[in-house]
Amino acid sequence: MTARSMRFSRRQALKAAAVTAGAAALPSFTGCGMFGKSEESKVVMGYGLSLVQLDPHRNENMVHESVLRNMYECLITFSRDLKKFDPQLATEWKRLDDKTTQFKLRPNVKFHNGEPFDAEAVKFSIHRMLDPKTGAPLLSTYTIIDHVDVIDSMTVNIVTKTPDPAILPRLTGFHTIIVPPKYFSTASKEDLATKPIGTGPYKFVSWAKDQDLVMEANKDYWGGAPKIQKVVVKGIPETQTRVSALLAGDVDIIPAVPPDDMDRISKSGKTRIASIPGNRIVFFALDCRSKPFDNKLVRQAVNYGANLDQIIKTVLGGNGTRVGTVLNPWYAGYEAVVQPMPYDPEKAKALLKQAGYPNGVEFTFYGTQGRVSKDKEVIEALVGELAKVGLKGNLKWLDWGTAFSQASAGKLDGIWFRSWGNFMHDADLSLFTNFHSTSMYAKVWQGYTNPKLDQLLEASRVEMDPAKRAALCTEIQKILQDDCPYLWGYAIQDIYGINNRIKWEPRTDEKILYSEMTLADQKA
Amino acid sequence: MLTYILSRLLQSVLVILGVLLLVFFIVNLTGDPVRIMLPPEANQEDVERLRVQMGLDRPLPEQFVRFLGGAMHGDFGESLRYRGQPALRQVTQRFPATLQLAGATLFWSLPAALLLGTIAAVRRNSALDNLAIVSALLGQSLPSFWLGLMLILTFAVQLGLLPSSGYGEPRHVILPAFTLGAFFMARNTRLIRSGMIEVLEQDYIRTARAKGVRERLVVVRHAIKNMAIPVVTIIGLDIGQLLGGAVVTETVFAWPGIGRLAIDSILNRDFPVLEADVFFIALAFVGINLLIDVGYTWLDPRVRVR
Repeated sequence: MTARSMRFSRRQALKAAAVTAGAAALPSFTGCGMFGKSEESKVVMGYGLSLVQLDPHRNENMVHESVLRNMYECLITFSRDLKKFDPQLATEWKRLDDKTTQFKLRPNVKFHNGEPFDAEAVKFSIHRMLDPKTGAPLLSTYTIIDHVDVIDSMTVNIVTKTPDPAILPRLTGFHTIIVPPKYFSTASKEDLATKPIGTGPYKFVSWAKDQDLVMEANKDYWGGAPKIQKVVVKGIPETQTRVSALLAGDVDIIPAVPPDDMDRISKSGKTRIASIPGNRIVFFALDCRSKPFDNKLVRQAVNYGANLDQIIKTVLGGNGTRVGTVLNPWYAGYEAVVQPMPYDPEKAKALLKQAGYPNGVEFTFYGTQGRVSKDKEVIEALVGELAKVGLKGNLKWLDWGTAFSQASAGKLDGIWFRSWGNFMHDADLSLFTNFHSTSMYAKVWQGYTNPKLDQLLEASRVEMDPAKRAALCTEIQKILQDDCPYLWGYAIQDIYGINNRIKWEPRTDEKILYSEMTLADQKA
Repeated sequence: MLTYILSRLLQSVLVILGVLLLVFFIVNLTGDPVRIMLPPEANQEDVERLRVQMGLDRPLPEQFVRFLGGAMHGDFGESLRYRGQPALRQVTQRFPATLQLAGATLFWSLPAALLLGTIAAVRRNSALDNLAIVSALLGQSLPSFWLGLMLILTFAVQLGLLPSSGYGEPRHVILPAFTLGAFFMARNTRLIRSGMIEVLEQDYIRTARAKGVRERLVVVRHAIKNMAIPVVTIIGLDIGQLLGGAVVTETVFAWPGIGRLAIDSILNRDFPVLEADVFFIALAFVGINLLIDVGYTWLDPRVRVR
């Protein structure tokens, strides 16, 4: 090779490199020109998490449920005020006996792929969810259901293993969603995880991972076609970007607004804040096996000395509601008898003294971050408040996975952060699961048992008379407030940022139903 | 020449094998994926069921043999999080977005660095030089997290010119590419400037000037070419780094690239996807560097003789 030709090829190599780099970038700058928004009725949602997979029976978290509820339906659903059950795919229902409930199904309903909805679909769906191979994450909540009997093509009986006073709220649960049997028994696992087909008011159009999911209105929906024609779901992990996207008009609704950004959103002139008491309750578990919280008096002292009202006011800007134990006021089984424990630092100090800790006591406070809004700040403030009455917590941060596996091995001592969401809005799911001596939380995590409490929990679980059941739940809560296995906390506030061009009010049950939305200038 | 390429190829294979070994044992020692996947309301029974389903109850050596066997033909198993979906597919689905961002980033930052660096070197200690140095310092020291948010606030919220985040339309790439490119532009400007200064002091440049070659030609024909070798090396590393995804920029702009996937799979202990992701990134990095090494032999004949 001569020197000249060598030089030439070197130059060529450099040129080729430049051209390649340019070519890779070029597609991104061609075909511009989508400026200005068209006037179609479209809503863009900006969630904080990206969607992972769309098979409803393997649903992962609230964001998935929030999206999929618009494409899939259950037999029945909670009314907006959570006071009654509305028909969804069932039109009427009655109890045949303590274990059997009969449902008449809605006629002439078709899945989005044309498959007819009938009794076989109900049987297939519930049995699929109950099959451990399906991998429903909260299967244990549903295993009380034994099987589904097909009576005729439009009637089913749902039979439980034991009497179940909570069968109706249970059947509003997301895992009891009804899927088309033919599609779900023939499609590949990957299709099931990426292309949902249900009966709901919105039909799936497209989705690419970590990108937009697009839905369109189901014109043949049994409840009438929804007003918003197109819904786009975005996952924006960075909170500040999400708030900016709302302010810039790129997205129309964002859930989980940080309290610090509420002002910016409500003062922008184009967006507003809607806030509503949420379903998730934050509390702090105490290790009842080891010192100092093996002593009931110390556990009571924590509750009197926590000053949570002040923390909610200053740290959360008032966005939280104190609760007496772990129940929200609207749960079935709740009576307004058990009130939040008052802040009483003198009583806390006296209790500590009585327990044999006149000079205060030290313990470990395990914190986790990022589970609910401002949890880190709340925990830090709480440690400060408790120290004032002589309860000196040594703060130790754990990531959620580590905290959970240590707790599951019974290795956490002192006090630690927890939270609980109750999708059934029924006291049993919160009380029995957390406090019965056989439950993982009471037994393994905390070592908390109370035989009297066990009896009451077992009785309320099968008590079919609502009034008697509520009385039992109240008695249970009174014991809990005396025993104080937790530092009772607060219900979080759900805060949404909404573009003013959308008419929509949030719901207490965290559902975001796009069919409940209209454009501000659209007739409802 | 051929032995040189072959030996580099062999080294590359060994590097990738080493990476696979490391990543498998590191991820398997860091904790339990099942707990993180399940909601807090799940009980021990739910946990055990899922663990058996995913094969996480088997002994580690058995899991490793299965892993290596699969990795040989690109099968990393099913994602734990994206259940029922192949792990490697999660990576390849997101690669076009990473490629687009990398391409757009290099497309503006490389010419900008070349221009700024060269001008700064030629007009050393002038106002232009100082400007270049200050902007390089800024570009390197501004955290991309902050820069990204500021750009969003300015161009999306205040001016409404560009989308705040997302992927799909061409204009979506502009802000992330600028954010990401600021660092590369800054670093390369400094490298090119100091490389140029060194070259401009060489004897052959003085000779060229003495011959009466115009200054512009001296710089373009003689100096830039001789400065190219170290710069090409750096660019190779840049490309490798860019193809590995940009975690912060991708997160700030909700860009669906493989950097974010890597972080998500670490946080969710999604071993198969993390393994596939690291494998893919290692492959891209090693591949680019192999190309660059071979490319030297074209740029600089001395390398071949070695």
